[in-house]
Amino acid sequence: MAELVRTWSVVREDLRASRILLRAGWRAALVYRASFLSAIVGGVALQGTQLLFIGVLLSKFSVIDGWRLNDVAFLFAMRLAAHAFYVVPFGALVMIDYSIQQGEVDRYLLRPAGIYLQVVTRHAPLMALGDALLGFGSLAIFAGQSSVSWTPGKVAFLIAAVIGGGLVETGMQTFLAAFSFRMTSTISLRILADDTITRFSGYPLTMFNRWGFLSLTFVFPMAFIAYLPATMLLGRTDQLPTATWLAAISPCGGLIIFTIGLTFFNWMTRKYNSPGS
Amino acid sequence: MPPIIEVSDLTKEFTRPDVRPGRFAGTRSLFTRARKVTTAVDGISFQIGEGELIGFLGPNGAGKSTTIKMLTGILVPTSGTVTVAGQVPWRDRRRNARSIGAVFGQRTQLWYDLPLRDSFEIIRDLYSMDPATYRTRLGEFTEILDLDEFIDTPVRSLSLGQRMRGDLVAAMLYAPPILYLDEPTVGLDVVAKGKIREFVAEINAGRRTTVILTTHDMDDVERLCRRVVIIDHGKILYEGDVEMLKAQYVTSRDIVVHCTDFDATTITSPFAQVVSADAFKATLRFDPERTAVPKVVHDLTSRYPITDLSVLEPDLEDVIRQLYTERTPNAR
Repeated sequence: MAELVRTWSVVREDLRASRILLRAGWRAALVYRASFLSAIVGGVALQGTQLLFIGVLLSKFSVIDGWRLNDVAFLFAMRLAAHAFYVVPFGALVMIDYSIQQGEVDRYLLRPAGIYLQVVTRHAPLMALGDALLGFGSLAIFAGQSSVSWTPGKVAFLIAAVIGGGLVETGMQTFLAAFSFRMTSTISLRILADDTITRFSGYPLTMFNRWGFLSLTFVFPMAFIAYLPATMLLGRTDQLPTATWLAAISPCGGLIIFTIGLTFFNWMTRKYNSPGS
Repeated sequence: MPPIIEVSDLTKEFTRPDVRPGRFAGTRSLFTRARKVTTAVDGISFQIGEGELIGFLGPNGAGKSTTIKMLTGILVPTSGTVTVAGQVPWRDRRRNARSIGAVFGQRTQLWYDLPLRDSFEIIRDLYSMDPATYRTRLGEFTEILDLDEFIDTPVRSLSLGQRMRGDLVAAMLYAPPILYLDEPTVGLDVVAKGKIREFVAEINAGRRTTVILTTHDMDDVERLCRRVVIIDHGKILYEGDVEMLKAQYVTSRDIVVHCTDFDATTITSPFAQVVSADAFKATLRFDPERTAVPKVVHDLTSRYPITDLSVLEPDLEDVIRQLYTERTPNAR
């Protein structure tokens, strides 16, 4: 019980600190107005190229692994929205190598707030606003055009799935970022993960063979980002080489993967060797 | 003075791949399993009393910063124990963060793109300070450190001296009982150094803040510290009073004699040895244990028409240099 009270007080303290540090991050970002605007435009352009790519793909193949154009577009929009849910609150994680190499982590360790929290609030990830605009915008459009018969329950499932999908990506990136405390740089690993997620997570993953799909579900669990929850919403769970209940509880996957990533990250902070001064 | 910091058998080792130089050294480093262990801090023990202002000295790479980083909770020790205000810094990191302030000369703790005042306000909110206390304390510190003219300037536009003053205020706003200063005057001009020394002396004397100061500037030590801990190669070479250190290591004193009416190179004394001389000035060295200062002075002034004479105080820098050079084998 005492441990629970202590944990709750730490969570409350961190929530308060995150509000303070986020405000500081945004205030600092707004100092550079031109950079602020160009970063947003850059974010939209970067993600927009992916939409263009899928448009071209679907104009050539109107069906991918039995999925029609509007449903693939919906799946892709789910992945973009989940990605936005990763990059908007946690996008500053990308700077972890720099923070470690430059000894910024020393400063984080001296403040009465969580280290992870300070890493992700280090700066306002402006380009992420472009991701959010595109992700939530395209989801709003393609959800209506998909073959899902929307009910309040399905809308709630979709919201949970997007948040869960964001947490899956965050958890995976957090897990990899934790190695920076030992290896000093993990940027290549994290780019590889990001690239793999960007390339494949917006498509029906059963287009790979059974083993390919299973590894993308249990080893590199990007199936939880959009594909598994989308099969649930679209009634396509019969395609899955796994049990249906896995798709039904897929939004919870994010919470589990994020918890694993964060626990590992916090454990790895003890391996931190501050750079010499 | 009850101890507020207790360090016992503290050791920190760093491990890295052991790569022999030669062909393909970079590639071999990827596959080698051999490891090289460097002991930065080697089983040191000491205590610091509440309200003390202690100098933590040593040459570059001696283990000063590593020790301070273990005391602040930044690094986890390899072995040994540290308690700071009753807490283990790395284990009780958040609670420890509220009892300490830290200024690292090379790295700012402030928000780089924001005005100094904004950084102070963020710290006020992070440490849950009440607005009235914050205003009073900031007012006092602003006055001592002359922050008025640059408090609304973004940190990135501040000079090193201004930034350092800002860092000091940021570290002391929430009134931690312990302050770590890691080379706070490095690279500063004399005015900025003076302001910082005045501030440190004030918070130590007026607010009973325990201060641990690492520095290479012996002026900082002479003006601020009564006690020092000197380390080298991760071991303690000396721990104790500054004056005792001088007495222990300075076995001779110098007298400088100036004259205009005769050639100073002709000066001799039965009690002192001439170490340098030119036409107008001579420096003589004597052992104060054997001959008292007045005796040497009387001997010289009675025999020569001297225009000016001064007895040089032992220089701490020379003492420290001597100590480093000897690198006592029985360091603990």
